[in-house]
Amino acid sequence: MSDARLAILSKVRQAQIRAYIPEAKSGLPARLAYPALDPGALRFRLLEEFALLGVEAFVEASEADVRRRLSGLIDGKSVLSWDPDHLPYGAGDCLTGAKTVFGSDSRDEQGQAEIGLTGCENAIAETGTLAVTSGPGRPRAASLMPITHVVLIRASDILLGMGEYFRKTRETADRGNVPLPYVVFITGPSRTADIELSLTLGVHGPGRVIAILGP
Amino acid sequence: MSRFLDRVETALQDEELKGALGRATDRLASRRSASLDSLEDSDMIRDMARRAKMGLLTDLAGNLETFEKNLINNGVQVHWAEDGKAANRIVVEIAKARDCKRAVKSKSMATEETHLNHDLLEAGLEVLETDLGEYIVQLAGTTPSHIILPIIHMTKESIGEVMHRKIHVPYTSDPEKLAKIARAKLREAFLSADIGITGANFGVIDSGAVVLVSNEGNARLVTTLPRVHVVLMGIEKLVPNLDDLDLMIKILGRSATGQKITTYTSIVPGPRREGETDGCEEMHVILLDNGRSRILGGPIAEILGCIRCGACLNACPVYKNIGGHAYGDTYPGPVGAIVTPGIRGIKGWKSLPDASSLCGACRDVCPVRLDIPRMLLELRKHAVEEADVPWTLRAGLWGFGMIASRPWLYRTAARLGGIAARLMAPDGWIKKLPGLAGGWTRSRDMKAPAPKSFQRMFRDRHV
Repeated sequence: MSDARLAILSKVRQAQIRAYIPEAKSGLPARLAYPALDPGALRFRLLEEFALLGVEAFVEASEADVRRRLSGLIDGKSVLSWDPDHLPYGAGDCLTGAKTVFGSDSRDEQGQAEIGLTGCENAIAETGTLAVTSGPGRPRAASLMPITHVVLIRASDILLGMGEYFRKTRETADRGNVPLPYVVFITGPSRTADIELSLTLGVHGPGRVIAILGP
Repeated sequence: MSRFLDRVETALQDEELKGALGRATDRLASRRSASLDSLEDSDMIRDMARRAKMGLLTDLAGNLETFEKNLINNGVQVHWAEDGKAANRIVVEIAKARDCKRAVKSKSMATEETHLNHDLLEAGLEVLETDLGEYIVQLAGTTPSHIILPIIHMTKESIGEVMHRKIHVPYTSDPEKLAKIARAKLREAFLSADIGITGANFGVIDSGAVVLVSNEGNARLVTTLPRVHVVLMGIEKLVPNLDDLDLMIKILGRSATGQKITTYTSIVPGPRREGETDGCEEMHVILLDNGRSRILGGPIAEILGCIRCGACLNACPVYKNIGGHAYGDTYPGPVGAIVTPGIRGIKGWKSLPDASSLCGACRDVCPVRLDIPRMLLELRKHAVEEADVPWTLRAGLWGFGMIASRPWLYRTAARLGGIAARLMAPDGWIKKLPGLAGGWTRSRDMKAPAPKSFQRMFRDRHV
C-alpha cells in the first residue's frame, strides 16, 4: 500500500515539473465578497428562492405561532425528530402525543416515520438552501428518510451566500482546533430528471420540504 | 480506428437515440446558459475557479500529502491505487475484512473507469447502483452514456420495458411511477447494505473532507446508512479550501443542469463521531492515479482541472449526434476524447481526438475554461508521432512535401491535376476520385478546381 503511495507521489512530482499548466488570469480577488443585506431583504430573497424550488414556507411572528403551525402540520402523523433540546422555539413541546422517534431508535422505526423534523444551522438566501449539520441528538436520517421534511429557521440564521457559511464554520473549527462538522446543504425536495428530463420529486430523499420561519 | 467508426455508424442508425439525445442535450444547453446569465459576475467566478484548479496542479504532490494528512486527522483511512485493478482490489479487501456482503453505490465515474462492479461481483459481493439512471443502466446491463444523465439515450418506454422485464413490475412508461417503484426497491436495499461506495465531486485539501453532490439524495443514503463508506476518487479531484469550494458549487450545478445548486451537497469530514447515531463507522478514501500522473506530465495537463459537469457534451455537435457509447469508454464527449487517450494511452484511442470539428463550443461553455480544442490538437499531433501511421499516408505526405517545396513542380502538378479533375467533373462536381483519393469522395462530392489557378491569377496581375 505504501509502495503505491510512494510510486504515485514520485510520478506526480516528476510530472508536475514538466507539466504545461496555463497561466491564470491576474487581478482576480482572493475570494468572493458578499454584500451585507438587512434581515428583511435576506428573508425576502430566501422566500423568493423557496417559491422557485417548490419549498412550502410559513412565516410566523412569534414562538407560539411557530409551535401552533408545527402542531398543525404534524396532526397525529409519526415524526422522526432531532432531540427536543436541539430544536428552536421549544418545538419539542409539539411532539408530545404524537408518535415520535429519535436518532437513538431503530432504523426500521425511523423508516416508518412520515415527517422528519429538524432545525438548521443556517439558511442561504441566494439559493434557497438549508445548511443542516449533524451531531449527537441531530441525526442525519431526520432530514433524509421521511417523505416530508419540516425545517425550523430562525430569522437571525439567514445568510446571503454559502461562502459566508464556509467562512464562519472554518473560523469556528480553527478557533477550537476541531474538525469541520458534517453538513448537508439541502436545496428543495429530492428530484431526478433521469427519465427523459421529466422532473420527478422524492425519488430518494423527501419529496416535500416545508420551512417554518420564526422570529 | 474502424471500431470507432463502426460505433459511430451504429449510433447514427439508432433513431431512438437520435430523438432522445437531441432533445435532452438542447434543453440542458439552454438551461445552462440561462442559469449562468442569471449569476452575477459569472465570468469572474469562472476565472477564479480556473485559477484554483490550475494552481492546485502546480504542486499536486504536495497537495495530495496535505489532503492525506488532514483526512487521517479526521479519522479517515487513506489508500493509494496506481491503477484500476489495484483500486478494486483495495475495495474488495476492505469489504472482506469487515465482513460486508451487500454494497450500495451512488453514481461515480471513477468506479465506472475501474469497472469496480465487475470485480466486486467476482469477489462474491452484491452490488446495487442507487442513482435512478445508473440503477436502470445496471438492470439493462449496459453502460452510462452521459456524465450526469446516464440514460439520456433511452426513452421512457424502453425504461419501463427494462423494469418490467428485470424486476417484474407491471409495465408503465410514467416517469413518476417508475421513480416510485425504484424508491421502494432501493430503500430496502439501503437498509440492508453494509458498505456504501461513492466517488467524490471534490476533496477539500485544508479540511480533509470529501464533497458529494446529488439531486436524488442517494449519495446521502449511501453515506448515512451502511457502516462502512469507501470513497474512490481520482488524485486530481481536489480544491484547496472552502472558499474555492464555494466557487465550484456555484458553477457545477449551473453548468450541469442549469440549477443554481444541486439539491444536496454533502461535506463529509470523516466517519461518525462520538454520540452520533448515524453515518458510517469507518471511512476509507482511495486515491486513484490510473494514468493521471502521465497526463500531468504532458501538454494536456489542463484536462485535470475538469469538474465533470457535462456541459461540453451538451454543446458538442458531434456528441449530440453520436451519443456517449460511440466514444467507447467511461468518459464521453469532448472531455472523453481527451481523458480516454490520456488514461488508457493513445494507442487504440487515436480516433477520439479526431471526433471533433474543433468548433470551440466546448471551450466556450466550460466552467473552468479548459482549452479543449487545443488539447485535441495536441493529441492529434501525438497520435501521428506515436501511433502507427499507414505507409500510404506517410508516402503521400512525403510526396506532397517534395512537390510543394518546388514551385515549378507544384505549378506543373497543379495544372495537370486541374485538367484531370475537370475532365472527371462535367457538371462541376467530382463524384468519385480514383485510388486512395477515393476516401474523400466516398461520403461527399468534391468541387472541381477553378480553370485558372491562384498562382496564375497572382502572376497575371502582379508580374
